[in-house]
Amino acid sequence: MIPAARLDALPSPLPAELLFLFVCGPGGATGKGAEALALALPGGGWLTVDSCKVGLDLPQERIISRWRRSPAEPLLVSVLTHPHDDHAAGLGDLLDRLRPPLVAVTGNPPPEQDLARRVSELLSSGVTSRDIASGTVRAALSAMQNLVSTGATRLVPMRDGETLVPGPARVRCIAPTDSEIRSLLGALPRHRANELSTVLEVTWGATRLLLGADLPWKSSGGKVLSSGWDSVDTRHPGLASHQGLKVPHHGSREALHPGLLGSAGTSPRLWVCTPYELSDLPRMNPGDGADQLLAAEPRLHLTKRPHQRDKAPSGTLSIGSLRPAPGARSLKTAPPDDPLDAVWCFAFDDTGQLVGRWRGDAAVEVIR
Amino acid sequence: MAALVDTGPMRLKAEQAADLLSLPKSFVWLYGGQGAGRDVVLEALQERFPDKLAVLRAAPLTSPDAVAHARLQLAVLARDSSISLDLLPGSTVETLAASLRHLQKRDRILVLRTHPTWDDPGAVEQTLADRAASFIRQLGFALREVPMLRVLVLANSRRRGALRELGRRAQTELNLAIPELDARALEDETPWCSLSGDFRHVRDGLGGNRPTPSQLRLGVALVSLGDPPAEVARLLRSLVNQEHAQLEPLIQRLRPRLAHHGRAPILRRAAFARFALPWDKLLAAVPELEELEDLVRVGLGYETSDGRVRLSEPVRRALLSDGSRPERLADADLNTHARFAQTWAQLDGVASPQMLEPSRVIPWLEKMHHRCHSGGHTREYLETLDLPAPEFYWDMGRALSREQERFEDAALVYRRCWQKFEHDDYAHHYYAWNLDRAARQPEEVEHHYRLAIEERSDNVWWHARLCTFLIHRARFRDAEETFRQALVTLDPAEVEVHRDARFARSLHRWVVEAWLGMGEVERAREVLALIPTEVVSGNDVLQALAARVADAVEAMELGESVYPASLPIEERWRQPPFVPEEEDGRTLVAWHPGRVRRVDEVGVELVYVESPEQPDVRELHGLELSLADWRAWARGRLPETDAFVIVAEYAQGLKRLFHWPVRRLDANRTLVNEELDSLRYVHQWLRTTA
Repeated sequence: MIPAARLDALPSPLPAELLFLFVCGPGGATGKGAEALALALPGGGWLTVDSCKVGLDLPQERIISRWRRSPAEPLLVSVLTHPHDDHAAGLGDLLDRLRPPLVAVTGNPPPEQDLARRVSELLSSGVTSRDIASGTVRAALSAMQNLVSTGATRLVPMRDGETLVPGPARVRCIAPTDSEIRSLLGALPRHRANELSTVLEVTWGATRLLLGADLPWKSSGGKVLSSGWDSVDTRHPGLASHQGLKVPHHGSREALHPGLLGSAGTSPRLWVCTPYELSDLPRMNPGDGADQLLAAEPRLHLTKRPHQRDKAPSGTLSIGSLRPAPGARSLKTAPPDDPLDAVWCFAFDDTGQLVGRWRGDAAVEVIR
Repeated sequence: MAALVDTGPMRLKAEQAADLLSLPKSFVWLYGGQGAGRDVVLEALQERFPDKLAVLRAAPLTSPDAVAHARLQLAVLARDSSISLDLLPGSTVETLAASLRHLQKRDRILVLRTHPTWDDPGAVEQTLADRAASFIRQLGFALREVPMLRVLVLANSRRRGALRELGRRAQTELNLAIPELDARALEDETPWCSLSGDFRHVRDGLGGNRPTPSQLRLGVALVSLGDPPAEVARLLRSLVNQEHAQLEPLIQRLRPRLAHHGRAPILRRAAFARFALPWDKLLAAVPELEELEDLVRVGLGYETSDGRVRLSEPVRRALLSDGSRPERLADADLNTHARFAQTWAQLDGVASPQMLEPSRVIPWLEKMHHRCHSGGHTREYLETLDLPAPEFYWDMGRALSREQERFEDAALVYRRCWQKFEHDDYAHHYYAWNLDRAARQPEEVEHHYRLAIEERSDNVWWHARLCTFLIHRARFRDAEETFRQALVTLDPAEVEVHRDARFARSLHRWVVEAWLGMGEVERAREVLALIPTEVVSGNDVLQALAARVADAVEAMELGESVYPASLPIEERWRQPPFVPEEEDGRTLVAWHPGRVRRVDEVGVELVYVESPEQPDVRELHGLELSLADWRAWARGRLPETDAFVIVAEYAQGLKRLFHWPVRRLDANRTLVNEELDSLRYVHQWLRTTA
């Protein structure tokens, strides 16, 4: 695989002829959120997917303002894959600052119904950490309403088959389906909102990226879900054939569908994962999520070493060095110092080649 | 009152005041606390100066129409039959002085009967207080421009605070002492009518001590409402011979007593009356009072010598806001206001203020006030509303908004107001506020919030509301800039924020709460940090706010809450008393605060903090327990999501879980409904309900 350079070395403005994927997270230091993506499409135009926040800074805003190809290069759309605070933190602020013309959320038309389903869950719970989380979702919804009501933004529903960005570099939704949305909407409790995560597929020539959001394969009890990756694999066989994968649900075992992972082939696939420290994801125990990923690919890109605040000078760690000590699981949050520390950036051409890797100071690659 | 009080000393004081007022240019400031007998003095003066007194009785400043009330009274008292009511929509020193000159030409003595709320306007809404202060200042200047006019101010206190300006010309201050209980009063049960049994109980517990008449009356009322006589008597004994005859401790008992009393709604309706009325008139407005006649006439209230029934202001406030009910009025309340309006209409007998004569002016004003609060105004009526003074619009707008939650209708009233009085900052602001509450036309909301600030840039509320509006709209950068601008405008040298807590309570507090409501803990912390520590520590509300922020910061830094929000920060991170040092003969080795994060069919997920006593190395951990393990650790107690626990480790690996006792959140904390209310635009957009 092409050697990784420091993020500082990534040229600005970005070359227009390549596709760039930035993966950021976690946030923290009284900012929050676990995952935020930014895509710079070849020829121009950006997408953001979800959001996180480091202190008062928004990594995606920093990325777009620093690397946009021209001051006029537009943000085409912001996607909220599912309204959990680890994906919606800072989204209200981001939308207010960037004012995208489209905001995409899971749903059948009208798209508001997916959001409406969540509103009742924003009741104050009396548990401060949960109320802060609700507050971030409240802010995201308020920003959406504000932009939609002023006509600055249109809310679009995302479901299987929906094309978000047409053109040579196409972005489309491959999950969930309209019938899954119909059957799950209103029935899912908050903690299972992952099951309605928007999964995006980016294709450009021979290049295919999958952005897996938090879509699970199995329930926490180990039961295969009828929606989720099984359903995606049935509708879109060949999921394992891709050049880049934003690993779903922070590499949890319950999200790693065999059809998505496949087996190691001749050309390495780029897999990137954001840690979710509060659930200790991805798990580094023998046989758990990280091992399963490394069994299929030799490298796993992590935007930050979980539970560690220090920078990662070498950038490469063996899974053995990340095994947890026996006993209780650490859920320690260790936010990055700078909004661009916990970031990986990858560049692809349209022949299916990864042509560049750049890492923030806290980002690492994990090897067997 | 006569049965309890010897009015002789009051009449003597009235004589003294009358002698002074007989002199040209005289200005007497006569003051006395609640129950001192200012009305007795006034009656005596009216006998001494028949047809000479021009009496202005101030309405409570808690009512938005209070200043217009005073202006109109003065205008009607001063005018000749041909003079129009220039003072009605507003006043200047010149217009006030012109009115005073009319009084002086007619050799009138101006009597200003202030209301207790005017002595301390800081206790009411800032805008109303400012408006009152401005009027008082103008009137004070006007009084100095008409030095020949004789003036008597009947006040609650000496010249101080806002009233100081009014009394600049006063040559003499007379103190009207709180009267003692008449020596025979404790022997005579007659005045107490059906409350005589309650009176006896109280009296028997007094042990010969003599409280003031007002204290005794309130004590008997408390017993009549169900308070234990011995406790009331003990309280009364403790109040006897104190330097200031205090009513407040009795009022403090009255509030919770009313909160659970079935008759409280009826008594509350009686308190809608701002001025004394004859009993039959009061009964006509509140027919349910019939069964409470003695409680109102001789307990909670008293009768003036001309047969009117009055509730003192502290009692009235307690009846109106016992804290147990929302401000929203029931239909029966609205009907009561309508009956009060009818009652006063019978007394004023005119349809227009132009036709008013002095004896009719208060009835006319009270009729207008109660009409504002009586509901039943149709949209068509409001769209063509035309009132003579801005404050009448405010009174109606506020009634529609607060008492009936008809926010769009309230906005309509305020719109009519600024259409007629275009520079009225209050109307612009509350037009915006009510539209905002109704989640309508956010651009219009912002525009009028800003217009209010343009018209009155020193109003702290106007700035605070614009900031919180922008925060709730998720316009964070605009909100930050607006807050920065507010600080530059209101307190550029950071004097106000250091002076006392009022400034921060009016501005910073709301901004911090709004940031917290949107999950913006860092921003909340930054705003809180602008308030000096000593100001925070000296104020309950700010202390509670600081505790909320500290709790939120702690939760953010740990990643999860492991303590109940209600547990003060300073009580955390120390071994709680309910964790025993020994269990089953084994010694406590370690304890960890934690919370149940999830409960499902598989088991229980716990989060807890290691090394709780060492701040630098505290670390959040997770633990998945089977239901069987949970039951063993928690001694059979069922797991509940979000329960706060202490995980205790004892020697030889014994584990126990102890639950925190449930505690109420701080009373100063923003209500859940208010937090949810920040989503009103979203609710409307998504067609969901709050």
